[in-house]
Amino acid sequence: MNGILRLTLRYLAYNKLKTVTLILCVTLAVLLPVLLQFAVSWFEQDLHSRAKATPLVAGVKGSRFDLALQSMYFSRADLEPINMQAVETIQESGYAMPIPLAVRFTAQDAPVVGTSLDYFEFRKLQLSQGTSLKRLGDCVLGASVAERLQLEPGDSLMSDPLNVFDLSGNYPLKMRVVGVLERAHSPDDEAVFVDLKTEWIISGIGHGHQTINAETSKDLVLGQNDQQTVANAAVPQFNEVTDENLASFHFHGDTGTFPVSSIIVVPHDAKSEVLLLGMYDSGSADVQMIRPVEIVDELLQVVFRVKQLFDVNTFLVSFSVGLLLVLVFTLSLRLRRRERQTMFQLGCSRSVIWKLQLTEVFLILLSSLVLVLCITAVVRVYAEQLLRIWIID
Amino acid sequence: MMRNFALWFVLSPLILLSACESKESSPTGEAATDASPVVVVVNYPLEFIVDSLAGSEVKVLNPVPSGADPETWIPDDEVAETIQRADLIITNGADFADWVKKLSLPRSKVLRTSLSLKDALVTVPDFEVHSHGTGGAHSHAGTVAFFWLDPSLMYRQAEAIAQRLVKLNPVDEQQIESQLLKFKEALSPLNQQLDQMKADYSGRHWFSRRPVYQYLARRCGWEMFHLHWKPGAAPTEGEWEQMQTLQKEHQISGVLWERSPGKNLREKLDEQGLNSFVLNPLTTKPAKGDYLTMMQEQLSQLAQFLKSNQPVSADEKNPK
Repeated sequence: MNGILRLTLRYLAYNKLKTVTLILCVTLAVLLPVLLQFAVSWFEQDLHSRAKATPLVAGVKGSRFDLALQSMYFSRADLEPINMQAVETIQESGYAMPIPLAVRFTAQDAPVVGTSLDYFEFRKLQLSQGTSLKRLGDCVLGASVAERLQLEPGDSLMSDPLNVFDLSGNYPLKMRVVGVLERAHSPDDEAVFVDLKTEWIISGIGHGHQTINAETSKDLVLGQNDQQTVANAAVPQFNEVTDENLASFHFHGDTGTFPVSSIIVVPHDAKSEVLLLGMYDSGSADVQMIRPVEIVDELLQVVFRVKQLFDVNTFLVSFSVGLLLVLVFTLSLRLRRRERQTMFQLGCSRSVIWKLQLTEVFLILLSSLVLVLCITAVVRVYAEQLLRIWIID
Repeated sequence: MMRNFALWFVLSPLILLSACESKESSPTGEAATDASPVVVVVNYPLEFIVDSLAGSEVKVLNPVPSGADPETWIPDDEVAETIQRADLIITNGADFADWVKKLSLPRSKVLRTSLSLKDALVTVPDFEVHSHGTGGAHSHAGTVAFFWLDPSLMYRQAEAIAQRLVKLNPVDEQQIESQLLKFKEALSPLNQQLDQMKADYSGRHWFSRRPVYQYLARRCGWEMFHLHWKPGAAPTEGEWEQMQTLQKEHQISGVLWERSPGKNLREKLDEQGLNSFVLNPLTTKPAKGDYLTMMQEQLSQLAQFLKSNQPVSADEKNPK
């Protein structure tokens, strides 16, 4: 090993506290701007790619940001639902394929996304295990949810009750896990997908219960005449859809009035997109149609303004840390004057002495840089989850 | 040694290139593109329409097993997967076929033929009587699903299906259009029979067990009243009384049945002055013939039935 390098390493190892302190100072000064830059660029890239892959979104008039984020990231926004008639209207217009989304419930804290099979094709989601949704009560898990809950096809997953104190409200549905999606590195990894009709069952719009007749279920019958049997409220509803009770599941009312959180609208061509936007661009329309890319751009403008403030702050902090380091090294040089003199008397040239000092600075900077890279790599692994938790949820 | 290396260097890209070419022109690739599109239907009339329009160009799959009721049959997981994989799923709409409501189907592949005849749909206010909890019994409105009993509506269903088949297979556009014209011509005898029936027997009032014959009745100028009698069970005293009240109010003289009511019930109805006629709505494939021949036969029998059961006028009862 080179003598200068060996001497420097020995010196750094001997002065552990000083070395560690210097490395940490430099690391912290560099880490903040690097992480911020990295986070913002990842956030921008992720939002843009998801928004570009989502041509149009329709939903009730209100916050455009909430509508876009809920449709793309299944975030928990308290959006007023629209009804299925809005989905039918878009389909019947012949301009686009609507993909309804109902995101109101959770299962083990993962959002339950009620949609149609077209969603999987639209997002190009592939199955890694099992099959796609087949019937009422089935669910397909995103890769992260399956991993977190240790579930696979054949297992069951219970939906979370919306309000544990509301006894008359919706109650959990035990869903049949039929498939697990391949990791898509998107919010789809964190979701539980069910058919829209299953979501309506979870919300209590549809249900299944045993057949009631006075001979078999005396306790459950409130009254009976020739025409019909009137059952009381104690009729137990099925909390799981099985092959045996599937036929008993039914919905009350007009399907057109059933709720949907938002609609992903996939226009057939550019002209159809413009015509569709025109259809909903009026004050009297209850439904708004947005381009997620535009919403994301607006959102990023706000993020960039905040980032500019951070950049100024980071510059000032880095500058002050830099000055501090210069001071530390200058003081260190002064303190080590006698050491330099000794080395000079031992026969070291001035250039060798300067090389020793510079190698020391170089090694400290290099160590800091390696540390920054390691921390960045670790953060990169968890960046998706962290950003979604902090910014989107 | 060097010469061998140079030879490999030149030949290896050529070998790779030829391998790629042979894969592109493999017979399996051609077979994959030549596979006929699969069209799933929910009942026999829709199967008949698709068969008439597309012939052997598409593979029509009516998944309902013979003997099963297409309205209530529910497929198992394996059949459900086959249905999901189809290129087109033609449903009737108006809640015909339970499986459409209970299966996960891709919306982009589903054609609801009822949407093409929205203006002609018949909604019945007490389609279904239902009760839950302490709220008591209440009725749900519903749309009658048996569109094909009026051939003009069946033709509109066929038009919608033809449009979608053209989208599925644009190469066959002309053929499908010519088949659609032929289909229209094939329905004309039925239309004539119904027009004649309307001219001769308009204004009749009928009973039926449940809402089935509304489109046929509207076409013939008749009115239908449904009884909500449970299938396969003898009507109760209350149900009889209700029927008699309705019969008196609306001067109803006949009952249309989907399948034979049984000898006892038929006799009891005869005593009430109600003649029974069985008109198979053909939701399943008939044992012999097809939709056209069976409907023609049934309508001829119905005309005969109406002729022999003409209400006796007051003049005929008391000749001068």
